[in-house]
Formats: sequence, C-alpha cells, structure tokens
Amino acid sequence: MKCFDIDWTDFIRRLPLWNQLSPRAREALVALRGGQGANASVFQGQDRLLAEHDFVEHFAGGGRVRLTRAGAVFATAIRAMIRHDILAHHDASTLLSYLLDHFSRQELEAAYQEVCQPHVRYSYYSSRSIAHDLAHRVASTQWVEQFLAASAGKSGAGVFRRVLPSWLRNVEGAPRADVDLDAVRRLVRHLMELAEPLPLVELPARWNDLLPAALGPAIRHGIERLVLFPAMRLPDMTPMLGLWPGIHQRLHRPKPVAPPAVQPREVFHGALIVEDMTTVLVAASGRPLRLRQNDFQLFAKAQSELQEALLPLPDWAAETLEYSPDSRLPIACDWLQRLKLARRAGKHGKDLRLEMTAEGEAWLGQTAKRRLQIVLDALRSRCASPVLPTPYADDDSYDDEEYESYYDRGPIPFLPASLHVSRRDPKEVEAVLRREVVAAFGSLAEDRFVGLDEFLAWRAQEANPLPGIMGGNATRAYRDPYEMLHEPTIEALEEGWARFLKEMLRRRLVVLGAARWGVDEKAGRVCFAITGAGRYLLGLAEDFEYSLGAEASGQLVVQPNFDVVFLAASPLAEVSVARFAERKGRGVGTLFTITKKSILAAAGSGMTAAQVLDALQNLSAKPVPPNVAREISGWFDQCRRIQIRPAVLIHCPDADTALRVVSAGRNRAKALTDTVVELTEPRSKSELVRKLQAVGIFVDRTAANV
Amino acid sequence: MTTIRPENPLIVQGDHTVLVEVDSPRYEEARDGLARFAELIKSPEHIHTYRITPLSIWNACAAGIGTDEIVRTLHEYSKYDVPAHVAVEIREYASRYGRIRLERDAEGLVLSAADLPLAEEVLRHKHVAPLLQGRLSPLRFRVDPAARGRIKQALVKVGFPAEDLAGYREGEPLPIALRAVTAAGLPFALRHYQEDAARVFYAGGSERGGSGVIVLPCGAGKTIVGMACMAAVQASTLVLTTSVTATRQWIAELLDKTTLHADQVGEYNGSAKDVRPVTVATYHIMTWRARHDAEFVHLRLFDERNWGLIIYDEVHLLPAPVFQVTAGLQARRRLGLTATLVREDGREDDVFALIGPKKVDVPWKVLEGEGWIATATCTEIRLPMPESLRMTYAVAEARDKFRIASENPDKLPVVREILKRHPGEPTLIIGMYVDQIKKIAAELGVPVLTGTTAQRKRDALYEDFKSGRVGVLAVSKIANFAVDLPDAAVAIQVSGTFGSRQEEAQRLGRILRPKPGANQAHFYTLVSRDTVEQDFALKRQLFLCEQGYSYEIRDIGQGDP
Repeated sequence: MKCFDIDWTDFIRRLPLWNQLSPRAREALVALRGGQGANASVFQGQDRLLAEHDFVEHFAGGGRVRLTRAGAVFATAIRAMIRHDILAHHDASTLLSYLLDHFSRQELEAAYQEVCQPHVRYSYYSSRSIAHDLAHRVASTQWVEQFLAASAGKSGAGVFRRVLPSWLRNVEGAPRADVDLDAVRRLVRHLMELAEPLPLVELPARWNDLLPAALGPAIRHGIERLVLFPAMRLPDMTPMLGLWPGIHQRLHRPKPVAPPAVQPREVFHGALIVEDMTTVLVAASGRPLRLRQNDFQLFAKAQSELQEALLPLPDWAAETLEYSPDSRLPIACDWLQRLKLARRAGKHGKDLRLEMTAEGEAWLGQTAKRRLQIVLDALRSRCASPVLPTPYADDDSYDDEEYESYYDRGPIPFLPASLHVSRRDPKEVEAVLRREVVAAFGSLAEDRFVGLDEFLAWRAQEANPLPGIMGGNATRAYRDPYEMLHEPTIEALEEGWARFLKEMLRRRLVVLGAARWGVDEKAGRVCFAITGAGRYLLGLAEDFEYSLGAEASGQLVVQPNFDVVFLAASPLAEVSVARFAERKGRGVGTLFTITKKSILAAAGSGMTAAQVLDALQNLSAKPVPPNVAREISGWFDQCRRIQIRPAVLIHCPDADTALRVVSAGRNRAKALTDTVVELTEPRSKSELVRKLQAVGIFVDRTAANV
Repeated sequence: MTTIRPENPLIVQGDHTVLVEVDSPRYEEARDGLARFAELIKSPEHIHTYRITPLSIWNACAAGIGTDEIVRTLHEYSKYDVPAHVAVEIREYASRYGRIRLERDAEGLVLSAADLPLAEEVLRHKHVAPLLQGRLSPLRFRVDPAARGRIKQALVKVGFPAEDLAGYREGEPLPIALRAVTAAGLPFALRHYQEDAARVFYAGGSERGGSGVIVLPCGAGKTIVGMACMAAVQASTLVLTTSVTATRQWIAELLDKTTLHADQVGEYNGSAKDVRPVTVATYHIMTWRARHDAEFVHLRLFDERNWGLIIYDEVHLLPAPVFQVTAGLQARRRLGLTATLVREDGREDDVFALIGPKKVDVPWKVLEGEGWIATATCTEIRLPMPESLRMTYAVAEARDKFRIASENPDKLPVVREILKRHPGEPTLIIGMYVDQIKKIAAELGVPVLTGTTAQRKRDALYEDFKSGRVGVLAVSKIANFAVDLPDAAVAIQVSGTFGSRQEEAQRLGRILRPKPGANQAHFYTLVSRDTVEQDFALKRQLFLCEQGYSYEIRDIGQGDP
C-alpha cells in the first residue's frame, strides 16, 4: 500500500482506538497479516477492545484472533507509514527511497517534467539523476512555497500544470473532486508553524478551521503532491503527519549569528604546501627527480623517500582537512611547476625529470617567510580561473612543446575552485566570488578561533552571494566542482557556498599557513583562525609576521654531539631542521643529527652557514654549542662552485707555436699555459685550422679527436 | 589527548631510551631515580640519554626496587605520557626476575621455579636442562655446585635471571683494616660514596650481598672501594687487574692504606708468581698459554687458595676465558669494579650472571660537583698543513694521508706553546707514531716511553713523573694501550686514530684524578686542518661530547704562534 492509497478519513476515525492500545498490542496488531491468526494473549487483554471496534475477530474457541477486513486495511496503512523512518533519517537518500517506493520511474520523470523548465528536462549534464534531483527539490522550502502559490491559481493544478495521461494515475494535473484546495493550503500553512510533524490523532482537534470531512482528502492530496509526509514515531508507534522534517527544521532554525570565539585543544599551523615544495625542490637541487612517463609523477621510490622528509601533519588534521598523504607530493610538484620554480625536462619517452629552475634556486635561498610571501603574492595577483587539462596521452604525434602545453595548467589561481553559472560572464562571477570570500574570512579577527560549522552556516545563510549570482533567473544552471544543477534550490545554494568557503580554507588558507586549524576544546569539533599571513593573502594587509612562531622556537636543544633533540613536538621546526640535518626520529626526542654530509647537501641546495646557524639559534632553547657552530661553518667553508664546460684545446709543441696560434686565433684563442691554447669559439675551429695552415702550422691528424 | 608537563625532565621514547633534560629544575631527583634502573648511555651538555634494558631492570630488581616504583618514577618525571608498551615491557622484564632462585639445602644446590609452567619451560630448555641433576619436586631441581655459574649464564640468556641466594664460602680468614693514617703518614678516610658502595656490596655478610659490580667514574677511587670491601669481607682476596703497572699500583695502595704487611701481598704476573693471602694478578697472565690450543695454565690460580673474595678490576675488560673460570667460582664473593658496564663485546649479561648485578652507580657529574674528580676541558687545535707538504698529501695514497697529516711538523711549536701555558703541571704527550713522539721528546728534552721500554725503566719514569721530578713525559700510543698511564693534569695528543670507547675513556680517566688547586684537567688534540686526521678527530669529538666533556675547537693560521 502506498501512503496516498490510505483512506485517511477512515484512518483518522480509527486513531482514537489505536491510541488506547498498549505498545505491545500495537506491535501485535501490525504484525498480523491477512488471514493469519495469533494468540489472543499477545494483545495483553486488549483483544476484546479490538474486536469491539472491528479490528479483529476471535476464532478457535476465542483463544486466537485474526484481522477483520477493516483491521487489515488499518494495519496495512500503519505498515506503509513504518516503511520509511522519515523522522529519524530525513535526508535526501531517505526521500529518494520514499519516492521510488511510491512512484514508478516513469511517473517521477513525468513529474519532473512538470516541475522543471523545458530546457532542464533535457539536462544531460546534471550531476543528479532525475529522481535524485526531484528529491532535493521536494525537500526544499521552495517546493512548499511553490505549491502554495500554484494552488492559489485558478486551475488548482498544484505544481503540475497539465493533465497527464490516465495511466499516470497518481500524478494528475487536476485534484480529485473531493479535495478542498483551501483546506489543503490551510493544513500546509498550519503545519509550517510547527517545528516538527504532529501526531495525526491531534489533527482534528488542533485547528478548528479544518473540517473533519475535508481532512482526509486534504491529507491525501498533500501526500500526492509531495508536500505532506506521514511518518511513524517508532518508540511508541504514533502516526505523525507533517511537512518533510528537514523543511520544518529549516523554517524554524535559529537566525544565524557570527560564531563566538572558541578555545582549541589541538592546533595545526604550517604553510604545508610551501614546506612540501621546499622539500621536493631541495631534493631536486641535488639531482633532478625522475618522472614517470605515464602520469608525470615521481617514481614510487622517490615518493617514499620524500614522504619521510615532509612536514608532519597530525592524523586528526589530515582527516579533517581531507588532505591525503598521497596527494601532497603531486600537489607540491604541480605548484612548483606552475610557479616556475621547477620544470619538467627531457623528452617524452625517455629521461623525463623534474629540474629546479634558476628562480627555484633563488627561492630556496630565501627565508621561510619570504618563500611563503612569494607564493602568496603569486596567488594574490591571480584572477584567472583554473584551466582544466585535456590530455591526449595516446597521441604520439605531438612533439614535446605541444605535449607540454596540454598539461600546462597555468598559474595557480587565488580561488581553489571554479563556479560557473550559465549565461553569466565567468570573470564577473569570479570577481564576485573573490570579493565575497575575502569579505567572509576578513570578517573574522586575526588569530581568533571560531567553529567551522557555525562559520559556514552563518555565511551561507546571512551573506550568500550565490542567489545574487543566479540572479533569480529560473533558467540558470549552476556548476561547482561537486555538482551541476539546474535551478538549484536555496538549500543547494547554501550548501554550495558553504562548500566553496570550506574549499578555500582547505586548499588555500590552511595549507598556506594563512589559517590555523584546530579542534575545539569543549565540543571536539573543527575550528579555525585566520592568521596574519591569511589577511595578507586576502589583500587585507600589506605585510605579515611569520617566524616559526612561539610553537617552534625554544622547542629544541642542539647538543655538542650534533644531535638535535626536540623537547616538544614542533612540525615547523622539524621541517626547518630537516633541510640541513639527517632525520633520526619523529615527534619528540632525538629527531636529527647534523653531519658533514647533511650540511654539504644543504650547501648544495643553496643554504648558507648563516642561515643554518640562524635557524638553529632561533629554534633552540640553548645557545648552539661552539664546537657545533664551528664545524658547521667549517663544512660550509669547504664548499665551492665550479663550472664544467666542454672546451677545444690546442696542444702546441712549444711556447712560440702557442703564441702563433693565439695570434692566428685573435680573440677566439686564449693561452691557458705556455703550450696549451683554448679555442673559445669551437665553431671557428675550421677557420682557425685554415689560417694556421697558411702560416705553416698543421694539425697532427694522428692525434685523436681532430 | 597527550598530557604535557614541560617542567619535567624526562622524555621516554618508544625504543626504551630516556632523554633527560639537565636544565630542568627536577633533573637531579629524576636522575637519581632513573639511574637505579636505566643505564647512562651518553651525557652531552644539555640532554643525557639513558636506556632501559632487561639487564638494567634486573639490576634494579636485585637492588630491591619494585616495578611499581620504576613505572611511577617514569610517570612522575616524564614530560609526556609514557608509551604504554614501555611500561608493559618493564613489568614483563621485572616479572622475570626472582622467579627462579638458587638456594642451598643440606645436600647441595637447589634451583626452584615460581610456578609449574616456568619449571617445565626451564626443564626443557636445551641450555639449561643438561645442567640439572634431577627433579626434587614439581618446582625444584638439584644443581651441581660446579655448574652454578653456567646455569646462571644460561638462565640469563633464556630471559629468566636467577636470584642467587646460595650463599658463599667464607674463605680463608684474613684480618684486614683500613688505616686512619697511611703508611706515608697522611690522614686517610673513605669518602662517603666509597663507604656507601662497600656497605651495599657486603650487605652485612648476607647472601643478598657479596657479589656484584660497582660503577664509578674514572678517578673516583675504585681501588679504595675494593680495599674497603676487602676490609668488610676479612678474607683472603685475589685481585685481577689490567696490567703489571696496575698490579703494582694496587699493591702500593694496599700497603699504604691497609694493615696488610708486605709478606701478605703477592704479585702474580709475567715476572713474579707469588701467591699470598692477597694476590694481585693480571688478566693477561691468566689468559696466557704457550700455544693457541694449549691450556690456560695460570687459571689454576683461582684454586690455589681458599679465596674469600675475588676482585675484578676494570671488569668491562674481563676476557672470555676468565668468564669461563669465574663460572666455577660462584661460591666465592665476587666484586667487579668499572667505570662503565658497557662492553665492546656485548657480554654484559655474563657480567650480570657471573660477577653479579650492579650494586652501586655514582654519576660522574655528582663526583665532579663535589670535587672528587677533576673537571676536564677538551680542546682541539687545528693547524694548517705546511705548504711544503700540501702537494705530498694531496697526491698520497689514502692510507698514507693520515700519517702525513699526523706527523705535521708544525705541531711541535704548538706543543711548546701549550707547555708554556701549563707550567709546572704534570703533562703527558701522547702520539701514535714512535718516530714522531721520539722526535718531539728529543726536541723538548723530555723522556719518552714506548712499548719497548723496559719495565724497570718504566716504573722509574712513573715514579719520577709522580713525584714531580719529571714534569713532562712523552708516551707512544702502543705503550698507552698496553701499559697504564700515570696520572697527569694535562694530556697533549699529537697523533692518533679514534680508539675504542674504553681506550678513550681510559686515557681521559688518567687525567681526571683530583688536582690540587683548581682541580682542572686539560686534554689537547692537535689536528691538521682539512685532512683525514680532522675526520678522525670528529669521532673523538663526538665521543667526548657524549661523555659530557666540554669541547672547544681552536684554529691556528699560517704563521700563527
């Protein structure tokens, strides 16, 4: 039986008896089916009451009972209401299940066609199925409002604007003859005043403007039109009626206010992406990192080695940020390339590698703050939308340059996600989004933690730009990284904006050290605070303070035996020390040892002795031991940079000949020793040979490499 | 959620090492608590490292320290929550101690297990089973007294150390007392830690005392402790030590500070074979044999008399054959003296099983703070290679580079300069290459001691050095290794690779004796800059820093004085 097949007038009439039954008797009644019998004792003495009201009849000498026809109809109706636990799980999937239970797919499609604009009916690219989309619409307050508005029309056809073929018997254009549309509207409006569905038994007495005779048909009509939903309150099996529970909640939700400050019990703060980029670039500075041919990512071995050197991200932070450890290195490599700090070199098919550029080398030599600032500046200056790649991996006809361009994702945009609205200029949309993102996060005081959910709810409800962007135009389509929707509901737009702000936090602010990420001390829920770097990124400040902060300094001790002992966990200090020391552990304890090898590697990556010693001094709770400082300086002093280049050398038998060669070569020949001359322009070798021959100096052809 | 107590000094790590923050206000009490059940591994300036091992826990249990107290100490002083598995494993280690006992009844030795499963496990273990002579009851087994040591060794390796309560033979009585005034006429008394150590070792003569190891830093007077223990035991004593010079030093001390007469004390080594109520022998002579497959003839010294006490000086150097014999001496009281329980050969568990558990461990920082040992400063002086040798060095084979760098002739002026800065202080000049050290000695006009120097001359030189008649003595490394060094205030190492940790510690230990006046000792290493010698010096630097010594590096440029 479906809910709209229930004779609601009869059902309501029989409810008072149902209310007299004990919970056990109710269960027993519902459990009985058809001609099935049961011991009368299961009704705990209430079998007589049920028999008096024609729910059951006794047989087999009165010891057993079975349902009467009326009782069977009633029990079936109760079971229909139990099938979907709407009160406990009023989400889209429950509603979808309800719809599929009550309507065939054809009926739903037909209803959908009635509901939506013509262009939407053929929305191949919607991210939701028809039924799923319909469920989202039905769960929206706009659905009820549209119902009330449409019901006021002359046709009284509700949201369905035309008469459909009779085989769509439950989705008719016109209401049935016994339906009082006014009564339906009144019932709906009454229910809208409640914060939750109402026990059905209270309905007749609750509102005296609803005539009992009209109530049943009104309920059925509301169910058919998907604005009213019967449900069963399960602990005591009380039949309820109301709007979709989510609509009740939304209509009666408290007005959102700016979230109060909270105290975090755990905090993560770090420019994660910048540190990851640094780690990759330091590795690439020593030797270019080989890349796989199929996806241009690092080989597994290199990834595994680099993973060990990455800034530790606490498990709780990785989980709440949804930041997979496997994605960190690909993101770092991507950013390095897009910021031109590294480049992909080599030919496709062989020797593909990631190399540091000159800009990358210069960037590595900067302080931690300056490195971060360079990255933030790159984002601050960007307005373009991210370009989605369209690879043609199987086509070998493209040469390297063209191939490169297909994977060139362009500069990194300020906003981490794009959002498109049909028939709106993307640049205008982006400008609005950027402005609103800045306004949203700029409304928070620096370093003041607020709850994430409260913040998102506040901004999504109070300052949501998406309805404005949609322009109130029912023909617009909306697409963000998660969904593509046509005529999105207000709820969908709220979810969309909340999601967009969260993405900004996840993929920009927190991972760039522009926000601290935490867990609330009391409720254990996620919270965050904008930092000075965050205000800088948002364009709200001209500079920012960025040391490794109080949480990093004073947390470690440099020992005279070159061990670096962490007295407290400090991921920022760890990643700083990891650039010039060998790792021995994680967390707290002896985490690093400074060795000659690690210092030489740091020198190779562009660090200086002053930078290393400054870093140690700033981080250390004690002065750096003099012997350690001396050795570090000494090892750096041993480093030199040389150039290796090919050269053409001319070996002469004596100094006089060498002079004659230099003379013949003019400014293209340079004497290295008395008898060895370098040809500084190898391409002019043939010309020089001819000139020398002209003056009697001949090349010895028996020598190699002539 | 992790609890953090920043004022506490300990960080307990999952690998059972414990870091101790020296600058914490609770450092001393934490150290005193921790040292009872953990071994000090390294002690550089700010953070010391200890390690908790089964042996260290068993040593603690033998000293009567309970598991709850151990775990409570860790929790009490730890900055962070103690890793749960560490506490579990400590309890596991501790639970294994004392579950097997060696006791004595009228008929001999009895091994008893705490429960039937343990008894069955022991009975079936392939190294233990052969040493059991029969089963007396479900939990008790007869043990051959001669196998007392071997069965303890085997049980330690099984992971169930036996508590040896079988008692001792009293040995041949020998009245010994410590003098209040030495034979040289100087007042003499035990220092408080020496007295404590002897008392703990002897334990009133009960079976709970009488065997074990006393750990004291170099220069703290372990010989005196040995003599105090002899005075407590009052029985004939065999002393085993590392060298002839050491035996003579022992004998000199015994005659100077105890009531023993010269005819009661014998020397047993290559040149003398006197077995007397107190006999001092070398490990070397005990492990000497004519051929590699011949018998160790001198090991019978252990059976020559009814020894009441056997003292193993520098027990960390105790050679393997002596372990074997010691296994048969378990009825004798045994005392090990050392500055460290860590052995190069890893046989710490044999020391535990055959000599006994650690009884006393006094940190050197405590003794240094109280002035009982000198404060040592270590200075590495780096000087450039002379131009004339740079090319020679650059093109030399790898194995020759070290010698060229070590024999840098520009080291001599530096030695002179150092000597000028320490006038009148007894100074040793130590070198690896005999030619170099002889040349330096000749240039400075000081005597030189090498491996070929006769014992008589060596003794004379020591006597002169000790009395101050000779202020500077040059010593080759070979001699250093084979022969004990005299006490000095300054040591100048002109060449040498990094030796074993014991060798380095021993060398430094010779200059850590208390000094009159500032009580300061100095150790200099001369290194040719930017050579392989500097790489070796780094290893020494690390070792010395880990021992807690301050280490300074000074550079000398071309032409500097």
